[in-house]
Amino acid sequence: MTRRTNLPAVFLAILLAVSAALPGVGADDQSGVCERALSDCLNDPASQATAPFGTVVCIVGYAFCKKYIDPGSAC
Amino acid sequence: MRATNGMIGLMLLCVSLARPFAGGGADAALKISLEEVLSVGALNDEALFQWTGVAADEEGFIYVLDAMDYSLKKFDRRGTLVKRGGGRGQGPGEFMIPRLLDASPNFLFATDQNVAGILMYDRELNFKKKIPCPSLVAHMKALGDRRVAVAAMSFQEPGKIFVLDDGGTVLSEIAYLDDQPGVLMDSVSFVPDAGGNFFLAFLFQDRIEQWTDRGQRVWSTRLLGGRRSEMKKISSLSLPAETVYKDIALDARGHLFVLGGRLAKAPGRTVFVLSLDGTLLTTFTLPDTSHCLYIDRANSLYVRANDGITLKKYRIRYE
Repeated sequence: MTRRTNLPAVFLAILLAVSAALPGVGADDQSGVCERALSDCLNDPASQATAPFGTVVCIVGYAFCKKYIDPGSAC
Repeated sequence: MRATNGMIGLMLLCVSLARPFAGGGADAALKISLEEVLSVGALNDEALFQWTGVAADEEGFIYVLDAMDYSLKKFDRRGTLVKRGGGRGQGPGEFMIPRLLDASPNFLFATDQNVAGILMYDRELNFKKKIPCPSLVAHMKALGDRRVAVAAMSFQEPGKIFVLDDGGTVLSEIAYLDDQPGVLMDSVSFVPDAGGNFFLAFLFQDRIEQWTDRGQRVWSTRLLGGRRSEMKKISSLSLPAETVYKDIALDARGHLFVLGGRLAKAPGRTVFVLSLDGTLLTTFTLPDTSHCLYIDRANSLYVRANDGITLKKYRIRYE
């Protein structure tokens, strides 16, 4: 099977990783970060050019972002 | 006398009915506390930057995937880095977005977020092969040196766990959805037991379930009143925005540990402890938020701290 990598999605993932790792970045600062990253990824021409795989990659990135980074808040 | 017996019976009935609700639905008889035995990585060192996956072997070595430097790292039982592998790229054994990690007796299995496959290494971090998968991988567990189970991230075939051999042949599959609940609503973490059962925790649904390897559901439970994730419209997609359960692990005593997501009292910190029949026994709270739970064969718990800069190892104490 061939490896295929969507570069915008990769950069977004790295951006998310960096923001999450920054000391002092709290829950409020990260609110909506996964939604914004997904929107940017979906609207990226490279993702659109490789659809539907590019779309899947964006959504997969969103799911991992929600799990790994999104801190949420107590309900 | 008959009236007295009736009263006693009524009181016992009331006590038994009230029991599941005591202490927020938990059995007050079991209490779990954590004793820190190791901390790897700190704000002032470069051991870890943002780790994503962890596994440990029977000799006490700890293996960690680090997303920030695209690496697979091996630490000894004292937390000293002894080897570093992986690297950034798309060549053999390299990563672009390392995510999941698990260990069998002789091998390590890792995933890269946008790769439909599993990267297999020996315990010295030498890359051995890539196991092709039917789709991108949402969750993964080793079932031995030659078998691995993956939860597929697929929109064509949602809601499936595949058991693969090390050549990528699908040996069996579990279809765990009753319906088509929407994009990402099939996302699960899972843990297998030695008897061929799989325990699933849904990322965006209040559902924890046991399935057999033949694809039969044994039980299903909800710990948060069946609450559903809020949906958000992003571009043209309607997607769940609130995580419910982030990970699930099985301890050596036969307890399921389920990490709560945004809908839990302490997001990323509340851990629900269930018996293998799905009964909630107790809850406890992690000192820091984590995205995952990992329990090794010696029954030590590994979780995240400092947003992934630190890996904490705890001894689990049962009271």
